[in-house]
Order: sequence, then C-alpha cells, then structure tokens
Amino acid sequence: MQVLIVEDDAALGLFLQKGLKLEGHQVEWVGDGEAALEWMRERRPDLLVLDLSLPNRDGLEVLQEMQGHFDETAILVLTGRSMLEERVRCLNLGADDCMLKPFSFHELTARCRALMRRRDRYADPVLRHGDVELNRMERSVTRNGVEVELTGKEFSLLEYLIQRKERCCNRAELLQAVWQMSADASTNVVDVYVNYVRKKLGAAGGSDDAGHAVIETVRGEGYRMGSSGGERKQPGRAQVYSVGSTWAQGAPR
Amino acid sequence: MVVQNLAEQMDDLLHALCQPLTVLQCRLALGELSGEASAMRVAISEALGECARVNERVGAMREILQTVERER
Repeated sequence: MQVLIVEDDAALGLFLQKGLKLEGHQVEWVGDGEAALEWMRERRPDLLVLDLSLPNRDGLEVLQEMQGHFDETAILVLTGRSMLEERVRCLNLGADDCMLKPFSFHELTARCRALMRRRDRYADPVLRHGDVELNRMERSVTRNGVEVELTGKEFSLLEYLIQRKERCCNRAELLQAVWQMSADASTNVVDVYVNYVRKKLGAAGGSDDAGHAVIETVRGEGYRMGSSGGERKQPGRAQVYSVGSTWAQGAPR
Repeated sequence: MVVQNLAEQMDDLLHALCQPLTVLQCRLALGELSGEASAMRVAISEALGECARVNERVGAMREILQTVERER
C-alpha cells in the first residue's frame, strides 16, 4: 500500500514514516500542505495520513482541494486540538477517520488497516491491464489465465506500473516507490527487474516479445504499461524502444 | 476575557504538547516491537529528547498559570 504522511513536525513525520514502512507499506513524508497536494496529484496514494496544522495550506485546505478528486484515497486526519467542530468539518470534507494526538502507534496502524479493509471491501482487488490480472489481496498474477510467479519486488513493480495505467514512470520514481531507495542511487536494479517481469509475463504469453509489449520502454524516460494492453502486437506495428537494446542488464548492482 | 485568553493559550500549549507526547509514545512502542536491545537503546535515547520537549512545554504552561495566579 502506498501511503503519504503530511506532518510538519519532523520528528513525528519521520517516525510515522519509519513505523509504517515496518508494516510493509511504501511511505513518503512531506511537511506542508502545498507539497502534499503536489505529491497527491502525481502519485495518488492509497492512504493519506494528514496533520491539520501545516504551513503552506493547512490540513483543512488540503481536504477542500482534494474533495471529489481523490475518491480512491483513504484519509486519516491527525489533530492535536480537541475541538469537536474541527473533526466534524474534516469528516464532512472527505476524511474517513480522525485521531486525536497523542495516540499510540498500535492504534494508528490498526486504524490504517481498518480503513484499507473498508476500502478493499468496496474496491475490486484485481488490477487489470489487457490480458494481465494482478490480484492485490491474493498477491497473485495471471496472464491469459496462466499463473505468473513473481517475487515480492517484481509484484510491487508490476503493481505500481499497472496502477499508473499508461503513464510513464521514470527510474528514479520506481527506485523510490518500489525499492525505497534514493532517486539518484547508482543502480540498474529497475532495468533488471523490469526484464525479469517481462520474461515471466512473456513466458506466460508465449514468447519473450510478449513481455516487452506489456511493459514498454519510453526512450530516455522510463517505463509504462503497454498501450496494446498486454495483448500481442501485430508484426510491423511500430515498437517502442526496448530495454534490452542499450540499457544495462544482467544482475542488479 | 482573562479566562478566554487563558483557555486559548492553554489550547495552543496543549496542542504543542501533543506533538512530543505522540512521538514519545510511538517511539517507545516501535522500539519494543523490534525486540532488539540496540533498537530499544536508540528508542530510549530519542524518547529522552522528546521528554525534553515535553518538559519545555509543561514549563510554559506553568508560567502562564503562575501569571494568572499573581494577577488574581
């Protein structure tokens, strides 16, 4: 699950980030309302943990701005003020739950899980792209009904790309979101894992090329799910630049 | 008016007090979760830093109360 924490207190923000990462989530932390909105527009997380007292647009303004545009994101509001009216306002603006500080870490994680359970009950756990189906609940992937066995990281990579539909994701973004590594880390791990996933999807689709059609390389930019929707392309159709041609491959380094 | 001011000041200080208290509580819980002595030592060290923030804010609340007492 992708989580965004918006908290201006650095100690608390970093702590929450660390704690939720230990729960197995992909977690980012930003310290003000403007940065939160920017991040939301780019990444559309599954869960937003939002403090109300923020610089550059407070939590209420962030909620107002988000209204109607981020229905798929669950919102947990954190507040240090005990005013009932404030909490009611947050809920009316689209927050799913409010927690009063100080709170226990166990309660926070339990509430996050409860929110996601509630979302998942109404949301289809299966992400689809052409003939590829990824089940987030069962952590399984099939192509044309054939099971594709992926490792944890391979699954997270494919999940991230499918969620972004056909939007191009650059290597830095994938490094941060899937591997929780610095954007400027000197590693070819993204390219290598894209190839692993392609090979496995290709095998399920009948050939290695079939894997390349599912995850396309956007030259000089990054990767995205193929516009052909994972179905095999017809010969002669223009192909996007393939990772196998020049980008470094082999073992991750 | 004095009571209203006092209430507003206390609300602000309580809000400020909640930050380090939350970190303190969560930090210790996380250290305990890890179960390792080294993680617990780091948690305690960071928790002591948060205690200093708590003390600072309690001190500010005490000062306000003393001012009100003197004015009475």
